[in-house]
Amino acid sequence: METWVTSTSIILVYIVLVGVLSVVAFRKLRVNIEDYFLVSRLAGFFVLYLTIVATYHSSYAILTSCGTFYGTGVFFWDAGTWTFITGLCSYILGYRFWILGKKYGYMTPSDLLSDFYDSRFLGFLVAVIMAVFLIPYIVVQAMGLGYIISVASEGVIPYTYGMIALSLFTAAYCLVGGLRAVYWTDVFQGIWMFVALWMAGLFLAFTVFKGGIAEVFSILAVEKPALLTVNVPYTYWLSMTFVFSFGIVLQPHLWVRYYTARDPKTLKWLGATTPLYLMFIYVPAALVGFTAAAAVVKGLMPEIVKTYGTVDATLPAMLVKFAPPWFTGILLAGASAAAMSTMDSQYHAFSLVLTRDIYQKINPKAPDIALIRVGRVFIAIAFILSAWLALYRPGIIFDIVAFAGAGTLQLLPATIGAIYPTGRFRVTRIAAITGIIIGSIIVIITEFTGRLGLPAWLYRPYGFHGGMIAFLINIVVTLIISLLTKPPSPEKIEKFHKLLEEEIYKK
Amino acid sequence: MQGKTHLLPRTLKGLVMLLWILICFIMVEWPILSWANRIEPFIGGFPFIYFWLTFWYVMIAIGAIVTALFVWRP
Repeated sequence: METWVTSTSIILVYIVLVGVLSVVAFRKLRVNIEDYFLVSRLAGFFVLYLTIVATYHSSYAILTSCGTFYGTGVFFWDAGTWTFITGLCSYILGYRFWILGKKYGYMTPSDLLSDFYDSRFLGFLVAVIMAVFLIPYIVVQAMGLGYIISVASEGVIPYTYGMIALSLFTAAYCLVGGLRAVYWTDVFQGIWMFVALWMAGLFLAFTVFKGGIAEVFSILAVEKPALLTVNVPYTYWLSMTFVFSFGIVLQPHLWVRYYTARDPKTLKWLGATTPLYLMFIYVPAALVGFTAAAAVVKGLMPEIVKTYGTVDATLPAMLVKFAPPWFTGILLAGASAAAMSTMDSQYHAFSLVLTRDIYQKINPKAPDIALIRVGRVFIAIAFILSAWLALYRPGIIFDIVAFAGAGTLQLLPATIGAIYPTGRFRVTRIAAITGIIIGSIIVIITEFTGRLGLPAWLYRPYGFHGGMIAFLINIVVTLIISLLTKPPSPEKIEKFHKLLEEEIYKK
Repeated sequence: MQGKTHLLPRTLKGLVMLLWILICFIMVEWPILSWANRIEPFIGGFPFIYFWLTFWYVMIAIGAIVTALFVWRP
């Protein structure tokens, strides 16, 4: 049997297992919008832990991390800073979302923000921004799936077919089983991807070079020392810390998860322990990336970008070259798990935000069954749109995810204003809206200025990422306008901040 | 409601843990990062910067667990 048949068949077996799980979840589904979109707010620690980490870590975590360690070196270990903030957010943001969501029945980020700022326009704006910046993130997962299948099958299954088939399968199980199917499959995928990447990292580090990772580092210290130091501006490093932590946590597919927790203790322990998973999945990624770089230097491996067209192919290329086919299949199924577990949550969140924040606002009396049907239509739209964009491969995965995170990072000042009492200072409605609009426009302008090939100081001044520049301007605008305009009503402050004070400090 | 701010800790334990996490964060950002950004000395086979970053990330992870045990409610 040809080697690609073995590895691709194992990936197929994995996909069948995911399909079976989602069918079981479908049978448990109640015809109830809160169950379809929020699993009736009953997610316990184990399930929520794995669904949060599996959702946060996408094809980006598996493919791009290995590829960036390979291409840019130690810079990617900045991931430690953004993943620990992401983990802590389960408590510092998630607990507050949960308190308010449970008390007032919020299902989306817009529900919370539009209520606090008393503005339907703000709710609409937040929904549109979330949907707009979610699409590029879904595109990334589709691209990842295409790369995995294409490299695993040694080009027999082209990128386009693999990308469309796996994206369609993911959309289908999400469409049928709702968030329950997403959670159940995430548990399975969260375990598989972590184990698979560790196995891949250890296997490659100690198989390709007999001296293991110590030999890899000693080769690179002589032949490619730039990979062993941080070789990007420190301002860019700081930018990524914010973009990939708060920026990603504020995306709807993660925000919604905090609403679904069973109790506050679940969120507290998620805050304390998810950094461990989120952070230490990148240790084996470093083993893969650095081993690949040393293997290329020593002529054991062809240059990856020249051969496969992108650094994102580093992991599959290394496995196909050095691991037995059955092992490659198991490990690349783990990489597929990472992409699919995020993609399903993103399809679901895209559908939830547009159904709840736009369709239901236009048709407030629509029954639950109609909302579920509309939600399924939006999942289909998300699939078509993202698969179409993925055909064009609009850049490397790292840059696309940074763009998506930079967009939603612009919601942070308004969100903090709503959920963090700050003494006498209040973020006002006009300030929140203006800050979000200005921040988002700057993100889009800097992104496209960069793509036009204009000088870097225009879109990356002093080395800062455009999203960070937008965020800093957003903060200043929000603060100044808040001082000049009418604050939220005392009733709203009472409704939000008094409840948070009682729940967090007095119970 | 002119309540207290939620942005600052209200207990000594909370303040200590906030400082712990802030110090760990400072250690992995500029300007300390520019000092630590070097290959040698190798520690345990790892370049110095890789070891430095990993060490502080472990410190942060420990800090998060201690904070959950003694500071965060419920």
